[in-house]
Amino acid sequence: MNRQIIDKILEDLHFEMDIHERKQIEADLDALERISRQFSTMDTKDVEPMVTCFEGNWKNLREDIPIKPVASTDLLKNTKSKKDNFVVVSKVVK
Amino acid sequence: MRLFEKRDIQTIMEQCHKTQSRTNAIVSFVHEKNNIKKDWSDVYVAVKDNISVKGTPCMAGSKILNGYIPLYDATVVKKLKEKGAQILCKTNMDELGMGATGQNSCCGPTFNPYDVQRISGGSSSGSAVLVATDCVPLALATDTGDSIRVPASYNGVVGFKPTYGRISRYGVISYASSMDTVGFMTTCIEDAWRAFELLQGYDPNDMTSIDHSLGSINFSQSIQGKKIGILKNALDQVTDPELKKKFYDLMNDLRRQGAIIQEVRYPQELMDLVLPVYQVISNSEACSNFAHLDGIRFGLQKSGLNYKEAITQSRTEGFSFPVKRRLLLGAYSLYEENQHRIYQKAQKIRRLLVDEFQKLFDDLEFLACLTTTDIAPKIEEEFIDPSYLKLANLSGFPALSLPFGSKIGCPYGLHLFAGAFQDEKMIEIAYQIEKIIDDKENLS
Repeated sequence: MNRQIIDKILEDLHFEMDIHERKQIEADLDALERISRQFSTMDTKDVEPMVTCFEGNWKNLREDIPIKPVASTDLLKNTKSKKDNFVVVSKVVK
Repeated sequence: MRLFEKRDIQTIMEQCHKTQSRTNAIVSFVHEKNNIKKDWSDVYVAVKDNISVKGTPCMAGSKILNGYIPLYDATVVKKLKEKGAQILCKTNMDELGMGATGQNSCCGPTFNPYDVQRISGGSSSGSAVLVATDCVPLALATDTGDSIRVPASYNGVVGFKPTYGRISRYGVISYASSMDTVGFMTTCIEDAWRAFELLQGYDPNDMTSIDHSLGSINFSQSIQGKKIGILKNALDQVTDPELKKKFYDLMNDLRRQGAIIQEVRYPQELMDLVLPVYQVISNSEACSNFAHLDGIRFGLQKSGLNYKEAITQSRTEGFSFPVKRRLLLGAYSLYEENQHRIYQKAQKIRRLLVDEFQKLFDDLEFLACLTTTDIAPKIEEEFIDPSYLKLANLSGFPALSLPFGSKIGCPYGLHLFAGAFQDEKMIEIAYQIEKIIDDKENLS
């Protein structure tokens, strides 16, 4: 069952692993399930998930207005494959 | 080397090349000279390679970012430049911040300058080494799970992790956003204060930045009456009796100077959960944060028959196996069928862990222990991650490591925790402790 799960996750994450790496991952997933069982022994009834430190200490989000727009020519400086101010990618549809 | 100590660039470069040949701490030099003449004009600073410096390659130890050049400075870099500081170089690190040994970087491992057969610690490996070898008086770094404090301990420097949110993360490559903290390494506490004074402060560009005014520091503040707890769980993991004796001797010295010292124990049932909770949360957040590293717009850009294949080629080649492992486990934890019992459960337990940690500060002002359980291990030896250090990351509380002792010529650090937003108080007491350690060292 782990092999199918690994295949699915690798598909979702968009990278590949060889057979030796997959073997290690199987062991890692087993270890993670053991952690899950360890977690299940903790009573967290009525406990809210702690999403981040110091909840409520943040200032209001600023307005979603670009303060200093970055020129598209600058944005594309790091792109290898570009044309007419667009990033060029291999075709999307098979 | 002190912060405002003047040295010509030639001398600095000679020292850097000497260090580099032994330790591989530097990834690249910054060629742009800062022409602003202000208080920090003579200060050369190294920057961990996950912190953006405009116009200088930024790889964060990962092939996936090969060729990426940031278009802007991180806020912390901008603040230094505005004060006239010179950014000297980018420092080596464990890939994308994931690691504590300094051994996993696409730029090669970083070696310990005291013994090149030992690890430097990580992930802020290069930053610690450059301060330790007198190349720079200040090196920026980040700490998500102990990544400043462990290398600081192994390299005999001060490693400061402030309260979460007090130093802006804008321009820093995120690893686990709910725990990532920008900090730094220096050679002494006084310089750590100077650096904190400059770098801290609310930043509207960072939505997790906290608006908390800078407190004042009194370096002549006595240690008398200060309540310091010895974190017993941490000391129990130290097997070398010499290290334990040195620690307890220091505690007795502090007691003689009027500090109130008491042993405390964090519930072991909860301490055993610190590492698994940290791993689940950090892996899950990393999986989400690094989803945008797709090899399309920047970094390693492989081609493929189609869009999906191009991304897969880039990510397969771009990430090392240790990183892929973490991302995969993070993705598994986030899957709909698992999220409730793994990721959200970890977040709930995190709250329990932090609530219990906070209780220790109801009676105490600081907690003390050794940063690492021993000196840096040899490269082929097992590295034992001191999981208690992660309490500072899960809670967001400030923490620091300061040089304490050495064994067979290799250093180890003393660790302090303080309560939330007590950074200034922690620096004050660290200054006094540093003096006591130095005075004792001079006498012996």
